[in-house]
Amino acid sequence: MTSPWKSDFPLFHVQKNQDLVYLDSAATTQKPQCVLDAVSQYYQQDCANIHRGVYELSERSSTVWEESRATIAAFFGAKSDELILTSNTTQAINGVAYGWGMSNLAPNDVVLTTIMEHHSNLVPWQQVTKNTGSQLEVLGVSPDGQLELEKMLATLKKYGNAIKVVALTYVSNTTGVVNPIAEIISSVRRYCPLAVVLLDAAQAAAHLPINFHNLDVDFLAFSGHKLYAPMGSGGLLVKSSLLDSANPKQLQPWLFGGGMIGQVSPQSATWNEDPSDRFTAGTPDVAAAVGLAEAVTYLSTTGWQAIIQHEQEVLEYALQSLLQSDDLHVVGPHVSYTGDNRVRLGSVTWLYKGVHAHDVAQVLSSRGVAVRSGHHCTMPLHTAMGWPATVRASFGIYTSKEDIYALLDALQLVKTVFRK
Amino acid sequence: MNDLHDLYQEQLLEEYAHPHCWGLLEKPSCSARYGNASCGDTITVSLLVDESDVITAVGWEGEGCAVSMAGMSVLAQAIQGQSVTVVAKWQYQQVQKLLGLEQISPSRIACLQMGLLSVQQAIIQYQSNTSR
Repeated sequence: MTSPWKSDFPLFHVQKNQDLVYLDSAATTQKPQCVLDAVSQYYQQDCANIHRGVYELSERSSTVWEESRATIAAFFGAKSDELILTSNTTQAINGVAYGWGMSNLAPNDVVLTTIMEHHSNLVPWQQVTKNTGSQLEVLGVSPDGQLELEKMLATLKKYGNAIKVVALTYVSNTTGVVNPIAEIISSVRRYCPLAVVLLDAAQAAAHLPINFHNLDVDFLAFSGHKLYAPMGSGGLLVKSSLLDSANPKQLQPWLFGGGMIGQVSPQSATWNEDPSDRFTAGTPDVAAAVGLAEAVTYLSTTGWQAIIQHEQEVLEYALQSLLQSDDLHVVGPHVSYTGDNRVRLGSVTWLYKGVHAHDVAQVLSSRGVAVRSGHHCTMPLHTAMGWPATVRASFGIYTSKEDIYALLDALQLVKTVFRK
Repeated sequence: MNDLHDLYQEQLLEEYAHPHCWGLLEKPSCSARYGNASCGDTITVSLLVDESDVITAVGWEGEGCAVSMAGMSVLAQAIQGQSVTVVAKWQYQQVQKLLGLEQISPSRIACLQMGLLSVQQAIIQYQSNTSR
């Protein structure tokens, strides 16, 4: 049975894609017509630079920008001035690393992260700890890819006040592991009161409701293009106190130039008082913001209950079917819930016995099945787990059991080609 | 849709299943290890080079996809008897020809190139050692 929302996504209905079985939504999602229309309408009717002109079109464009920001922030349960729009999660995390880390980390400080992190939530911290003389502590995971909470707790207690940053993913883009972030954040607040917490929500934002205030994180990074919005959209949510210009530990701008300044003289400048402007250097991608606002409205209108139920059915069917195959080994948890706790979301990744991931992906591609193969920007995780490369099928709102049937059918072809 | 058989031809699959020159040389003139970070494929190659700078023996080991392993297998045979100066200039198209592939998609060129790049790194080491 096809997803009830697939008809909203025009890419699936053009002739050249008629055989496409798209199972790479964790890399990027397809875009619904309403998002495409909103972007197009902006360029056709409302396009002007923002906050710069006094003419009506510029004011209209500025209004569109502010309204889009408000819509996006509200989707995440945040205030508009807690939102900094960026081009993606990577840029958002780099912003925290350079805008907060560089001015607040010193020798003897510790940045705590995990081996399951996407490179975008690891490499910036490698750079910043190297530049500040601080230490990067990387927590390992269990054989099924989950964090071992006792070890995390021991690490938090061991370093205590020395931990200044905890940088953590909400959902792993490789194993689908959902981290118990409420429990982790609670422990961080208890044992490491001087730490800021950054949550990488790139793989969570399209699949789970997120309330920024309830989470009690200091920074939350997300990608718009992974929640049905245009490439080039994304953002960073920042706790208000860290945007307060009176706070000596405030987030500092990391990009400088037009738009983010207050006063400029030949040798110096001050920054814009308004936090949303202070972190928007240069002309922003207003069209991307418009598209992102439309995308979050699309999700809100669809309703989380319907989304979660549908995606859980697809995930469960894919997981159970792949677990039954003797030809491959599924990595990550073999269940999606442990008790009431969700432990897996959004994707299933595997090693195919005796056939390299690229070859598996190539065979699947011959049947129109699009999956990702390689290390999925998690080289340290793959090395730690002894996986040379893996194959990942990831799901969106438009994915259905029909797509999983096609995947399972195409996987049979691998045996034929490689004469197992 | 791609035609699988254009890529996974009998020769490629055979070279993949039974690679030639498998196993590192005990006393090589030079060796190198090359990895493709995007897919985890690695090849370690060892070469024996005579006084005339001709490759006389090749031994290699690796882990990777069918294209990279088969590519290295045919390459290992082809470079024996060739001068290091000549092999240093080879491009991936030579490996493609050795495998009998009429076309290769851009995403698999890196796989095809892996063996060649590891051989060429080993040659750089050889040339560096012999120039001292």
